[in-house]
Amino acid sequence: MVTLTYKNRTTLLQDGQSVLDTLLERGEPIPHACKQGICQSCVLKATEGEVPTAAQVGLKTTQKAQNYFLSCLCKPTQDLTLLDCDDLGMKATAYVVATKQLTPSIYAVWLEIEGDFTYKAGQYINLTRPCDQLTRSYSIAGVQTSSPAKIELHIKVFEGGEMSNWLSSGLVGISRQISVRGPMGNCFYLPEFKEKNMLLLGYGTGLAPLYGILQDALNQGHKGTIHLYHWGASSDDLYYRNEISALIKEHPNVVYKTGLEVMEERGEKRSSMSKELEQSLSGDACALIKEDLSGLKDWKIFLCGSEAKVNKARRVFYLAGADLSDIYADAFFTWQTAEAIEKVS
Amino acid sequence: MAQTIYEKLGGAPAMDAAVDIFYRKVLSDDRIAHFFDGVDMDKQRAKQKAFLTMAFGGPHNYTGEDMRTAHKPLVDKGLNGSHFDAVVENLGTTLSELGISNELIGEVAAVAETTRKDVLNL
Repeated sequence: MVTLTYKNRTTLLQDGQSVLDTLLERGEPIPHACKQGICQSCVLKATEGEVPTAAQVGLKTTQKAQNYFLSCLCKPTQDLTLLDCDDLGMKATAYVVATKQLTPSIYAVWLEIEGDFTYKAGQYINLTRPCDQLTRSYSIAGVQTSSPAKIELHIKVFEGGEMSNWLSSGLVGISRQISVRGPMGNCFYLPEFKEKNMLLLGYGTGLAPLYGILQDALNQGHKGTIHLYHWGASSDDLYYRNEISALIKEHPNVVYKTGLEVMEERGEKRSSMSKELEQSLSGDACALIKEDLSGLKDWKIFLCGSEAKVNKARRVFYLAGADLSDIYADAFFTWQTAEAIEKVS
Repeated sequence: MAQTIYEKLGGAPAMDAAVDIFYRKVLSDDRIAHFFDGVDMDKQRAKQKAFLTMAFGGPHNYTGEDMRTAHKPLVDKGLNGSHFDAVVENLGTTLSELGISNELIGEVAAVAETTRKDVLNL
């Protein structure tokens, strides 16, 4: 007898019936279309119990590692507890414990989370401010493994951006208590990537998840080459140069390049820039990467930045030979785009 | 009963290779590539696979209504018969590369053709 637990209700699975059909029969509106493992619209996540590997065909490695599966193909042999995969997972309380200004508009913010909260660097979390339920998503840039663990976030502060200003104000402790949901996302490192070549491309604070992934990879003794490209719209976006240079110093298999989409004027701003920034490249990151790296087949590719940038890069690298299932993307919205969308709709 | 192309190619496992060749062609084709701007490529690839599975005579759950609804926004953006032809052409060259005979390619094109009205919302 195999049972399914979903939304706090347990149902007996009939012999030979799929998880999807069982839940549909029970009246759960699980999205689905082909019922053959093709369209991937019926993906669910098992929080308890083993999922048959046959029900994970075609999913990304990092999805499989989180027990995602195609419910239409899943005929389990043991009890499963299930979640929708956009379910926000764990909930916890956290406090801002430190902040640091990195550039005029970018801050590092460290959170301490109370209780158990497991995650991988590179995934993202939703933060909700208790006083007004204001919610924003941020990627986990890295983890200090002291106890309790501190989560590092990189935050671009926008004029009028409520959450970014609130988090980076410099106030810490009880006045900066926040609730955390998550973790979410498929952008993280797995030990099985060890021998693979990896391309990491981040725009602006899209560096955050990549910085986490890079630390994870190096901690786990990554053997393949890693190419990290950090790109920005202006030199203010290019933070953490020293931190990354220090991190990769003993690792000749890591190549690190920074660049700007458009070269800045050689005016006052430019002359005030550090020497390191002057070493930055300029131009379209995707085009440069295609010149640097010939053939991306079998590469693990991580793309982080605004949705438009990520979508473009994904297409370019797919057409340059990468498999779509090897491309892990974390696209983010800024509050400005969110507001623009609200206004339009 | 004669084998379908789906069976000839080797069923579900072979579909991935075919979809990959096809999708790369479509995205590289300037006549139609812009219709795919901003789409979720993972989901789109899954849809391409479902479409090819159907066109090759494999199992499918496509309905005309699905095709209509899915393509309506593109029709509003100017999707017309010439774009449909370009997709069918890419399908043909994909199959040629996989060593499928012209006769069978004609059959696939004929199946694809049955979706024209729904895709173009005619």
